[in-house]
Amino acid sequence: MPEPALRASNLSKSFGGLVAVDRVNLDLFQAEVHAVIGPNGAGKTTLLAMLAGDLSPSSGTIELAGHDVTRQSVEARTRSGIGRTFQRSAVIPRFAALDMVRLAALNNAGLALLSSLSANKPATARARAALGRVGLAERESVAADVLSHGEKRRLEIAAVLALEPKILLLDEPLAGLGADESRDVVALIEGLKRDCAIMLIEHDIDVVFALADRITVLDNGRMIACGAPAEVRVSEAVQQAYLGLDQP
Amino acid sequence: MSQDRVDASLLILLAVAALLVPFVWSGYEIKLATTITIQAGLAIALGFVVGPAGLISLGHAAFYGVAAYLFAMVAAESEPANVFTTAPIAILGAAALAAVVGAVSIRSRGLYFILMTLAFGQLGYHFFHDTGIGGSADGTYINFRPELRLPGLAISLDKAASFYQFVSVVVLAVAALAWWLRRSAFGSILVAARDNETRTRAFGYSPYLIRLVAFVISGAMAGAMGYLTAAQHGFVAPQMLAWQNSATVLVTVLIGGKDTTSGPALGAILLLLAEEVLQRTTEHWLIGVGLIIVALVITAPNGIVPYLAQALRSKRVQHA
Repeated sequence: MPEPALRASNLSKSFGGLVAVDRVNLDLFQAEVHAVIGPNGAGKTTLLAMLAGDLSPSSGTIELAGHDVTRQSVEARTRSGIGRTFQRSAVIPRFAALDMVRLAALNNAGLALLSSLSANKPATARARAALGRVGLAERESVAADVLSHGEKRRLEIAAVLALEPKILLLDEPLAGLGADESRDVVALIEGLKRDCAIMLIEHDIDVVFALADRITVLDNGRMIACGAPAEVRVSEAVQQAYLGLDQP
Repeated sequence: MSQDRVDASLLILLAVAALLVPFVWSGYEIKLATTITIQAGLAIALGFVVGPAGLISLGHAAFYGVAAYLFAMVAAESEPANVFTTAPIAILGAAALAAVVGAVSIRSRGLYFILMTLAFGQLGYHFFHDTGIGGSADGTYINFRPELRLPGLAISLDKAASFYQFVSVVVLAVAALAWWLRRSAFGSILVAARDNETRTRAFGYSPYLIRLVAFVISGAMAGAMGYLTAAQHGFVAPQMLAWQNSATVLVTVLIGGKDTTSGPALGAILLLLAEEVLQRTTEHWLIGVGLIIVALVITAPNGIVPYLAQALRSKRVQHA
């Protein structure tokens, strides 16, 4: 078995008396989409926030390609190859779409930070390519905060792509998108699988079962199932806890 | 016309005006122009962190004052000091203090950041006021104005006009540096961190580090202005570090336009000129200054330069 690109071991997070994530184990391998599903409040976003570095775990460890990154900051993990999108669109107001993506593309550019964003040709080319990939090439000069909701979601994905991540953490990338836009984003995620390991949190179960190679199911912060979509679909625990179905 | 273009045009205008001053003014007026130019430089220094970084500092007078004191301490008593050896000490001292103050204060945000910088600033004030260092409350004198000395070359800055020219060059260099940094990717990251810190961190940038670097640069710029003030007056006193000094500069930044480079300079120039005119007119001149500030804030809440840019845009739309 290859080494996982990202490994969470016995990961827990408590807020006072509330245990949001409870001893979760999760492996994410290159070239796979690993979906994390569960009802609202199951701990999915808290888990993602710990993997990205936004939240410190109460216990447990996170390894990136075998290296312990549990205490690393968000920015250090980004530089190590983790890219993420947010549940709510997190664009930079007043920045043109191209500039926002260029800012991502410029990461780790050292002295290039002393010249203007537009002066960095490689970053500009990478940003334009990322915008083209999400279908926003025509909107590159529009301010990020005046884009439509769907465009903002795609802009976020473009910015993360410009980071050229090895691991992609997608938090509900389809939330609020129309049918056409969802189809495009699903195709995009499928295409990205070749280049990186993807953890996907998504409420659209049809999309999850169509895209995911493996699925982890959380309920009340605990992992109640993990496996291939076909295994998860027939899991009694999942049907009872998540789908709310009685045993067949 | 975009705000950036108005900002650039005003900077060029101010630079040209600064270079023309010695041909038009002399005597007291040139000393006044020197004071105003230094204050414009101090406003540009503070504006660099208030605008793009969103760090409202009430401690910049400490960097300004500490540099002045450092100059007073290293200046020889019997001959003019050399700018090339004393200015770096003063500026690096201010930068080092800004690094310490920033490293602690930047961990707090908003009102708490203001409070931290205020506390550090007042610490600096009381350090010089209450201890025997630097002449306590009475301050200390610098016997000679420094000169520009290189092997085989010594340029005296004793004459008011030559000192003014030297001050103009330094302040224009500070303005150019602030302008360049604001437009660099570094400046863009500062603005991004101010407007969406979470996203900026997710792009791999450390807002803390980038703000700290900006704060240190700004502190060094303020230190350069403190050096010039000490050189101009030949005297330093604890009042240079007082929070009221920081607050006055902050007012000039805000009335000029914190998101521009020329705005803070313009704010300082207008406020000091207004003070000068009103002082000659009435003993209640401070009331007049207060009324001017109120009127400016009501008319141009984002500052004079953004107001001008908006007015020019509106005019253009009307003509189209």
